[in-house]
Amino acid sequence: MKIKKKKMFRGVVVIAVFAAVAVAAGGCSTAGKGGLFGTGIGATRDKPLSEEELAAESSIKQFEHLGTAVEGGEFKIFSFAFDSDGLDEAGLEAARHNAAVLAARPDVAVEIEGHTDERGSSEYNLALGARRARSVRDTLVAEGVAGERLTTVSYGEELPLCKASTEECWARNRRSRLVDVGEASP
Amino acid sequence: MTSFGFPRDVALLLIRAAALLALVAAVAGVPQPARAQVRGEILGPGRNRLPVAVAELKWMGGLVRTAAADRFREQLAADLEISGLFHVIDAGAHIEDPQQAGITRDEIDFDDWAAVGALGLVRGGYRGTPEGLTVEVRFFDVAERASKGGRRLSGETTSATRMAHRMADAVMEFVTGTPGPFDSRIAFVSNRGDHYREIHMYSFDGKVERLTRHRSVTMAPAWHPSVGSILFTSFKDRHPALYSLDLATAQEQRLTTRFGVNVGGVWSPDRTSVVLAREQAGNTDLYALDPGTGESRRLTRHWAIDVDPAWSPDGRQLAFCSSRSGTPQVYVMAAGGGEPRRVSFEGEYNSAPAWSPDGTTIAYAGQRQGRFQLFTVPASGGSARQLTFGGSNEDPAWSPDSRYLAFTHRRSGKASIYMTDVHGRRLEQLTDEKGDDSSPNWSPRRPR
Repeated sequence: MKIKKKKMFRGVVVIAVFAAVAVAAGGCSTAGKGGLFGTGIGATRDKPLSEEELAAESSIKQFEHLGTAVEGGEFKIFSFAFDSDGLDEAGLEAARHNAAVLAARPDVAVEIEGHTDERGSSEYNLALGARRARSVRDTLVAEGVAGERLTTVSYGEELPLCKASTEECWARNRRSRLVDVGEASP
Repeated sequence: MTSFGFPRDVALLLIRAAALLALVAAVAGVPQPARAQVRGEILGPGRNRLPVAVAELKWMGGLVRTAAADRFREQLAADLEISGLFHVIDAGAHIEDPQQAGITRDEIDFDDWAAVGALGLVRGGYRGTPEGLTVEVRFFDVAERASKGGRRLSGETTSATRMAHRMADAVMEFVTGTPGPFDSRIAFVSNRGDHYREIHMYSFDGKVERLTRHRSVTMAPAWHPSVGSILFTSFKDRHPALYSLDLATAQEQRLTTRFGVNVGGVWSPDRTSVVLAREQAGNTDLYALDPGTGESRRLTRHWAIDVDPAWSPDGRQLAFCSSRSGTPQVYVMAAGGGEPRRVSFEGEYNSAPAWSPDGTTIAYAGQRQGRFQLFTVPASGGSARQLTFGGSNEDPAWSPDSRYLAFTHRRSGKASIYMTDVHGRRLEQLTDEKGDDSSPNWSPRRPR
């Protein structure tokens, strides 16, 4: 299977991710199924945007103009225990769900992001995020998804969904999600 | 520089003892006992702070540069105060008129300085030059009425604070034998200014400069031993890769080409190689990269996470963090690889080791009761000592004189760069709260 990646698209996704985080950094008011990233880029906000955020916002507009959308909302988020890359029963259920979505959309390639909470060294967390993304990848492959459709990236503790130093917030940040990064064509 | 004929730390105590005994003798009118009662006391930051006066600089001719001279004095006083070695006496209490009295031993009325409680005196003058100023400063033992050392420094008016840092480092050398750490800078990560994490640089005059503008994620700054460039990891090309930023030219160079995680690059003390953590299929190990050829050699090979490499100053060993025991712990191994020796034993999570420039001590961050705290352990092995207790504290970075640690202090959802002395007695906040600041890396002393 050959994967045709839309480079432009990928770049814009990255911008959108950072823009979404920029918005999230303004407050933890963003809610939705599976958290902010799980709902794609449609983050709500309750503060006026800074100039920097407005610049990021314009990138999202440009991205929408391309006529594509982040299909993250269909995929379920994976959650993890502290310092763990193992998937519990809910994680395995999310894997089955996501594998089914991918089976129904054989044209889609996804990137698997690995994230951690803020605790511990940022370098260790980057490695832990990579391990989480790999763990999700291996589980999806075991569920029948072709490995060629899956790439991984770790963001460690660098892109938190929320920034409070609380158990609840840390739990939200320990996650892995799938991002539609382009077209897989036969 | 010291003429006491004792180890320097003890020598300073003898200054205090001599002053005290002189006072006792004067009051009681009795002969001084032969030995001072100072055994067992060691001078250190936050303990036995030496009261010093930092006199206003005397104008000695040339152009009048009052503003620069005042900046010099204020910064010098601030550095000495933050060092924890000194208590700087309020300038308002000074008796001697700094513009009338001289700046050498025979021209100073030491009684005036003893009267305000000063045991040490920092006294000097300046000449205004077309470019800036030339400063000449001495450090005096007030009780002994003797100069312990002096420096002449020249610079532009804009570098008055940098000259003050160098003078503060010199004063610390006059008193203890080891120069201070203030003519240096601290690289760190911050989202101040906007929401993107970029590399910033702190100087001890409080100035913070932003060094990158990638509008991406940037992390793990580490100084080149020359202080001329900084290694860091950035996602600007989508995957975390290692870059070097030249401070003189502002040019960036990418050092790694492989996809996946590349992080934690640290220059070897001999400046020939960079050790970093690199991921392959989800697993992260340590590699030594030759930046000239781009070739790398694998140093660890384990299913567990191996990250956070830190060189011993002699370049023979590496400290790092590994989860090979089941939890992240600190290990030491030969720089070429080999069987590691575990250094941290208590706690379920110990990471981010930093090796002191004097080679004696390894600092790391360990989790206790859900929060991270700083610990030190002798590099040769031994029991750990906890330095911090409040908030959550991570990312220890040694000062060039091995006296202090800069670190990330988190409290109430805010993160700032703090510093503490190696005994954990004093805590100083370095960066303000205009953003979340983390991952400090303290430069060596700047070259002249």
